[in-house]
Formats: sequence, structure tokens, C-alpha cells
Amino acid sequence: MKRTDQIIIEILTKECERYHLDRMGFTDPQRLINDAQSLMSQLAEKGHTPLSLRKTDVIRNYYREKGFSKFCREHINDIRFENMIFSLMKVHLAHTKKMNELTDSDKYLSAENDSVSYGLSKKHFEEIYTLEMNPFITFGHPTELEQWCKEVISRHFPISQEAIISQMEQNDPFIWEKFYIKLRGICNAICYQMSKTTADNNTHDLWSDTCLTINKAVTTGIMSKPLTAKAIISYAVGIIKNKNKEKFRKRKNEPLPIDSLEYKIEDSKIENFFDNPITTIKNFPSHSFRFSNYIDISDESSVRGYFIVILYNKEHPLHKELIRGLEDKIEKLFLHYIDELPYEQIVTRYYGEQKGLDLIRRTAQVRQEIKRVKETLLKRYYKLLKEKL
Amino acid sequence: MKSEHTHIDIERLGLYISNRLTTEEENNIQEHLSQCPECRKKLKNLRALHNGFFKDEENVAVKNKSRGTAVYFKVAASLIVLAGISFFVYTSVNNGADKVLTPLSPQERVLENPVFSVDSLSHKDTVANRKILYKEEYHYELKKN
Repeated sequence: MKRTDQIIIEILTKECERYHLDRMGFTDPQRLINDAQSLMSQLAEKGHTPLSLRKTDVIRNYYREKGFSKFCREHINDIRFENMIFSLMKVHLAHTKKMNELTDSDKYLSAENDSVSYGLSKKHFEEIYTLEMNPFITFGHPTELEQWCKEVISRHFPISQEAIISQMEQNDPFIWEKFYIKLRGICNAICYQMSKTTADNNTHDLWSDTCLTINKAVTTGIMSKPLTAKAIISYAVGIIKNKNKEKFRKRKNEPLPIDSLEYKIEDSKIENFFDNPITTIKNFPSHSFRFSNYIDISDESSVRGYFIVILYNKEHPLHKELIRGLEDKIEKLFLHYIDELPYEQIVTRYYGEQKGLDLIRRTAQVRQEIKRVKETLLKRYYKLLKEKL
Repeated sequence: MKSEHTHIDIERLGLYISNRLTTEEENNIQEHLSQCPECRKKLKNLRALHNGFFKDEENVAVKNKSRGTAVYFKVAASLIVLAGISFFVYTSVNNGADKVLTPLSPQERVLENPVFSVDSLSHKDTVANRKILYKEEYHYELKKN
């Protein structure tokens, strides 16, 4: 395939992915290929014009011919159109956050890769959409749609600290979830330093108790006014430290169980005394993997995309944990989806030539195996997400 | 912008297929993809896996939403029809409302609704009265029981 053909198909595929064109019924994979063929001559290299400029002209013509403007007007109240704009706005909010100075609210209340000042809940989006969208606005092509999203964002964001605190006082789960994720990392770090606790199940209880306590303190108005983001995080850190002190005091008073006392170190147990995981620096919380440092947990496409990255990238720190015990089945999964082998050919590869009823039985077996391994992988991934927020 | 010899890492390609990059970043990746078969293959594999895991869910979600929308319209249409019938019945009943409210004399009742002349008995429920009523309605004598 020529280079131009490859570029144009990739460009249109990306347009489809970015703006959910197939989900909205604007196009489908077959039409996309036909459209790509008709656009190829337009994208032919002209001197040294960079791809980005050539692409802009070609894409504009494409959307004009397809009637994107009319399509938008007709689908303004379509839930799929709304969902597409919701996902676009979240992408632009993430970029806006990176371009601007870190707000105090984000510094104290949200994890590194997250934001409360530029966070968009579904409820907030629906309010903005009702306020800002109307059938008289026209979008000739998606770039105009993106420009509109940027303008709307500039009018409504960043959300002020007062508004965020007010939402927290009203127990808004959207903001609180972000703060709990922030607290998780802090909790692990303090627990490690104060009581050498690293096992996630040990810190989990402490973290969840802290979350409940701070939530109650803010929503019932116990904390002194005016309430600030800094005050909230300081109060939460104080709770974590006190709980660790309590734990340390309790442990001191408990007698050691007699069976744990060793009088002789045997060779097999030497490893317990050296390279102890508790004291190894690599287990320090800031060194261990946290999803919130890499992706926006509240964004479905971000979460899904990262699952695929972990599954495909053998060097990812979580890859082995994700696929443990499923290596053979994952090979079949890859043969089916990546190499596009039909089930019958996979059967031949693993079980030799089969005929008649045996072939039908084996094919059904392979199909079931692949279906089950998909479910297992996703369950494991969501479990990892919860553990390593 | 990545040169021909620097490949795009898988995490960046993951961001690309999750639509987490700006348009400029996407342009750079597309420029590189046009020159690098290895990265094109990686991207194709990532997309194939992504579609394998999540495309069916999206299609079911879209169908359910469409089905939901179709059900919504059917229910709405039924409600409109029901409202129309109710309105019709209400106006029909209301046209005769003043007559229903005023008590009718026995003669008027007979003229209004022949059923009353047989089933509704006069204030004096005598055999004689019943015979008279029966004869008027059915034009023959009520037989003795």
C-alpha cells in the first residue's frame, strides 16, 4: 500500500475514533475505506507542505461533502452526540490543566494526574450542555466543535476553591472520590515511614477510616470556617498520623507470640532477615505503581486504553500480575484478535487436524476459552485498579 | 516529532487510541506512522485488542440505547393515544352531564334509556306495575310465575 493510502486511512480511522463517528451513525468501517479512496488524490504530496496542513484541507472537504453541519443540527439531542462532546471536553480540560498553573485546590485535593479544578462530572456537563448548546450553533467540521469546547471551558473553568469546598460540604461524591485517591498515596507514605507498613491490606483499613472521618468532619461542619483546601488536607494528614501512633502503641503492648521466637536461624529462613521487603526502598509507596499517576480513573476510555497497554506491553510492571496463569489462553486470544485467525485454525494449531463433530466441539471449546479469559483479565484489571489507585 | 529511528512507545500509542492527545500530537504520530511499519503494526495490534475487548460492549450499549429510545417512543405514543381516548370520552360524557345530574321522571327515564323501563322498578314495586312496564317494553303480557 502506498504511503498516501496509509496516511489517509489512518487519518479517517482516527477521526472516527476521536469523534465516535461510527457510534453516531455518521459513517461505518466500509464507508470509511471508500471515502479514503476518494480522498487519496487530494492528499497527494505537494512540494514540502507538511502533512498537518494538507490534512486540514482534506478533512474539511470530507466533512463538508458528508454534511457534518446538518448531522450535528439533527443530533444535538442525541445521547451519543452528547457523550462524544463530553469525552472531547474532558480531553481539553486535561490539556488546559497542564497549560495553566497548578491551582491550590488541585495541589491539596487531587492526585497528580487528576484535577478537581478542571474535573467534569456528568451532572456538571449536562448543566453546561443545556446552557451552552443550541440548534443555532453550526459546526462545519469537528475542529469547530473542538474550538467551541475550548471556549466553553474557558468560561466555566477552573472551578473556584469556594465552589469546590461547597460541593465537598454537600458531600458531592465526584469531588470526594478524587480526594480519597489523593489520600491513598499520602496514607501509604506516612504508614511506611511511621510504622514500616507496606502491605496494602494493612494500610487499606487505615485509609478508609481516614476517609470516613474527614468526610464527616467536612460535611457536618466540625472544622473551623472559612474552610480551605489546605485545611482539609492538613486535617486528613493529622488523622493518619494519629491513627498510626495508636497502632504503634497497641503493637507495643501486645506480647510476642511464643511460636515466632527463633533460637536458631536456619538456612532456609535466611532470606527473611535479608532483603526484607519492608525495608527495601523499591517498596516505598512513591516507587510503587499507582494508576492515578498515569490515567484519569474517572474516564472510561482512559481506563480501557490503559488495560490494553498493560496487556500488550510485556515490560509493564503490572503485565505479569495481570496474565499470571493465563499465558496459554492469552496466546489464543492474541492469535484470534491480532493475527485474525479464525477459531478453526486455532484448533488446528493446538490440537491438530480435526473433522466433523470433533472440530465443532473443539471450536466451541476455544471460543469459550477466549470469552472466559477476556472476562478474567478484565476482572483482574479492575481489582488491580482498586488496589493500586 | 519522532524521527524515523525513534519508535513511539506503547503507552503513547495507548494515549493515541484513547483520544488523550491534542490534535498537534496526533498529527506528529500520524506523520511518524506513515514512515514506520513497526509502529503501524503495534498500533494495529493495540486497536485489534481494544476492539476485541470493548467493541461488542459499545455495540450492545448503542443497541440498548436505541432499543430504549424505541421503547420510549412506543410508550409515549401509547400515552398520547390513551390521552386522546380519555379526552374523547371526557368530552362525550360532559356533553350529557347536565342531563345526568338532574333527576329524571319515570317517563323521561323510559324515553332516555329503555333499559330503565324494564330493570328499574318504580317506587312501588308491585306486580301490577311490573306487568305494565313489561308490556310496554316487550309488547306482551308478563306470564304468571
